Amino acid sequence: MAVDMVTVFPCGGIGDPVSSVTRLAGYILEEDLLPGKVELVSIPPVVTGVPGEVQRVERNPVIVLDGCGHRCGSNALNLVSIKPAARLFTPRVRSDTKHATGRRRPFPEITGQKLAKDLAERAAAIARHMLEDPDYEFTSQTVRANPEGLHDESLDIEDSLGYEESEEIGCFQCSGMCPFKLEKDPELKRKLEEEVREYEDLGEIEC
Amino acid sequence: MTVRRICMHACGGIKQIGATVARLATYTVAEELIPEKTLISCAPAFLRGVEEDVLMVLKSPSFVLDGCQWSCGTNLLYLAGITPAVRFHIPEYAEARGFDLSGGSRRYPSGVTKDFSDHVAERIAEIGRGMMEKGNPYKFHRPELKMQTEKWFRVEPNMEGVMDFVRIEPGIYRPVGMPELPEEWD
Repeated sequence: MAVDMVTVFPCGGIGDPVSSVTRLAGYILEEDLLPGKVELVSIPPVVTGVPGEVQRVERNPVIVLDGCGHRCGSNALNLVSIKPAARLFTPRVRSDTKHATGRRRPFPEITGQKLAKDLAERAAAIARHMLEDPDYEFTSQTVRANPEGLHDESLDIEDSLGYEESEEIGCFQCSGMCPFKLEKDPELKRKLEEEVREYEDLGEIEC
Repeated sequence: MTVRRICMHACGGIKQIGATVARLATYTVAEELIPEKTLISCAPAFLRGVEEDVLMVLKSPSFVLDGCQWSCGTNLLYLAGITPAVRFHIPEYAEARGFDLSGGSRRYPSGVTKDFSDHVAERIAEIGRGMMEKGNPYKFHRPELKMQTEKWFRVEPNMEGVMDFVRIEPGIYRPVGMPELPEEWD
C-alpha cells in the first residue's frame, strides 16, 4: 500500500546524553524537514495502549533511531512485534560524521545538535523515498506482545531483526521489510544548514 | 528498608509538552538538587533489561512524572509489578500552580517549559529529602519484578480502576498501600 505518513521512533532513553540527540533529531524531522509527513512515536504509549499510538505504528512504516549500544529502540519495537522499516544506529553515524554526542542532557551542545541534524538528514531521505517512490511497498503490521527480550538484555536484537547495514553508514535494513533507498537531497541539506538554528547558549532560545 | 536514593521515572513520551517538563525536572533533581542520591530510570532500557535500569526501580522508591492523563510512566511500572512511591500528574500540577503550558516548547528547555520544570523539580526534591532524612519513618519495601504482558495495550486515563491513589495535593498522588509521604506525617 502507498505510504502517506512515516513514523519516527527516537530511542526514548533519558540517562545517556545521546537520547537527547535522537529526540532532537525527531523534532527536526517532524517540525522542520517533513512537517505533516512524519509523526513521532514513543514506546510507552504503545505498550500501554494509548489510543491512536498503536494504530500509528501498525499502519505506517517506522524508522527507529537507536541511540547507543543497548539498542533499546529496536528492542522496544520487537517487544510489540513491529519490524522497523529502517533503523539508524547513532554510534555508526557519529563515527562517520565525527560529530560527538556531547555531555549535556537537557539539550545537546552544538556538536550534539550537529549530530542530530546528521541523523535527521539520513532519516528524512529514507522517509522521502518511502513516501514518494510508487514501488516502495509497505504492509500493515499488528501489534502483539512478544516477551522475547523483555527485561533480558542477552537477546541479540541485531540478529533477531536481521539487520543489514546499507551503503549509507549507520542506516540498516530490517529482514523482511521492503528495501529502502537513500538519495542525498541538496534541499534537505540546505534546510538543515540555513533554517535549523544551532544554539550555543540556551538563553538565546526564544519561545 | 530505609531510603538512600530516589529513582526518577519520567514519562517516556515525546509529543506533548508534559513529557519535556518531566524530562527536564528529572535532570534538575539529578544534576542540581539531589545529586548522587537520584537515579534516573530509562523506560526503554528497563524493558530491554539493562541491569542498572532494572535494579534501580526495585531498590529505590520511584517518583513517576506522568506527562498526560494516559499515565504511561505509572502504567509501565505497574505492568512490571512495581508501584511508584509518588505520582506527579504534570498538567494538573501545572494548572494548580498557575502555569499555562499551552505556549511552551516541547523541543527546547526554555520559557514556561523550563520555569515549570524547575518548580516540579523543587517539589520532588522536597519530598525526596524528607524520605531520605535520617531517622524518618519511611520504609521502602522492595517489589518483585513481574511480567504481565497479558495486560499490555489496555489503558485507562489516570489509571482509573487499575490503581487507587491518595491525593496529597492537586497533581501529586500516593498510591494506596504505599508508605505515607513526609507531607502526611504528624
